[in-house]
Amino acid sequence: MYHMNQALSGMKRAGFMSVACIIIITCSLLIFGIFLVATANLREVLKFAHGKVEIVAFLDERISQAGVDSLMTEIEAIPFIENMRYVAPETALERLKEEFGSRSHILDAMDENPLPASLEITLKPQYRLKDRVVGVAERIEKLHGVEDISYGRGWITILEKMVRVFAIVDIVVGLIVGVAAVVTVSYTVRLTVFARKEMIRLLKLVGATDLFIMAPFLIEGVIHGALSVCFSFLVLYVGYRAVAVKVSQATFMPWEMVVFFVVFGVMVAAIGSWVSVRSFLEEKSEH
Amino acid sequence: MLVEFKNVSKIYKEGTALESISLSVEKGEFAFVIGPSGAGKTTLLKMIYMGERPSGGEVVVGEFSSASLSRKRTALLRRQVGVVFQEFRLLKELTAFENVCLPLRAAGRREADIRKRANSVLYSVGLASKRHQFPPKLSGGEQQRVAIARAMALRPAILLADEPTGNLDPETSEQIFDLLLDINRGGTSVLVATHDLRHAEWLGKRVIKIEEGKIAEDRGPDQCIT
Repeated sequence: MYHMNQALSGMKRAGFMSVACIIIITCSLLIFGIFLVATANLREVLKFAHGKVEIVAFLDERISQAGVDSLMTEIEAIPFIENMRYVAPETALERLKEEFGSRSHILDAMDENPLPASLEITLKPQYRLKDRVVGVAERIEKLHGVEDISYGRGWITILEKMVRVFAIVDIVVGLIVGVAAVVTVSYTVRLTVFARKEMIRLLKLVGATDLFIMAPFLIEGVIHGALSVCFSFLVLYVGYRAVAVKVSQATFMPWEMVVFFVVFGVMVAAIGSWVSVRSFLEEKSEH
Repeated sequence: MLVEFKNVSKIYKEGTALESISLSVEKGEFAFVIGPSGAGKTTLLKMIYMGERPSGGEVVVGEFSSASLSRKRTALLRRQVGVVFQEFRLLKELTAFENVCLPLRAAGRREADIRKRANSVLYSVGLASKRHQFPPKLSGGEQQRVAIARAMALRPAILLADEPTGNLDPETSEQIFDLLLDINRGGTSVLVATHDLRHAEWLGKRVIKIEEGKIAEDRGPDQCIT
């Protein structure tokens, strides 16, 4: 209770510096938050793209219906398969016409349907990885009645590279913003610590431990962090709502990212305070 | 033996403050450390509460030794050493009562005990009625009494006073010395650094004279000062 009172009266005394501290942390968190929201949206895009990963097995035109049934049974026996759909040559042509739209009459000039029957196979989401897709595709390709196979090898490779690059960028930007925020906060808090140097010196003189001296500053840091998280979260959410009006697919942070954001904000402020007071205690270690 | 200096030296960038000092202070002793400004009196007191560490030699205070003292142990040592200064060093934004509560809070005492002890020690220095005053509203003598009350809050084994009457008029100085003698009669060792010889002469206590960082003279009670 004493430390909490000290922290609150310290904030009151620090006045402008305390407000400046909250503004600086809020700005740092805003940058980080924008990045997190961007990450969340990119992940949604990647998830959507991953959902589109499928293997198409083009069938030999001579295959009988019984052959198709037998082939489908064989493919269904392969693990990791989520769904399989038979696409008759007529259906394939209909789809092509739809894609051609107003120019579909071009296709009417053909005497016969050149499109083969095919099987569209999707893997379970957790198995839509390049190596797995390639393995399954090669296995299907060898089956009797399959003439050719398509699974967008290049696209899967790019997709997986993007996921990896983004994971690295995630960590790097998080670290940069985290370190920058800790340094900025510690320099700002340093001014408020300096303003209370007499109190600190006196507490050391009367036998206070470092933890006792630091406690109010740490509490202050947590309060600064919590307020900054609230303000930056509010701004981010309002910004997101404004964007969502125009881009309906836009998404906000998922709840686990919100938890991370809150913990990150509070920790950054508390660590900033700790670094600042600690260095002050060590500099002015005696007297 | 409460305090022991074993061949202690302190060297700053600017020069030597103390040179090969060896002395001891017994439990319940009252002693003056005298000498001109810059002689090393303050440095000697700082060594006792480990505000400075020796460049050479060792200072032992009770169970604590300067040779091996962590930050945590330094804090514990300071709970057994009360210190008062010429400029009082009270926190202006706290009342006299809250200033006296500080060491008790730092020592982790319970709130009820803190209040009881702070009131008791303020009463013993004659400031019970002014406990809710802020330092700027108190006279110099009263501020020094609050500082002494704060230093005595944890019932230290030794009270160090660095020029405690330097900012006070003669009459108030007398009252402060009376208070220090009272404290000493209660069993607390008292070490007073001063450049003013008068009190050392009148009170007939041990006098340690320091000149240029060395002990020039160490006289027992009731011996004349040269």
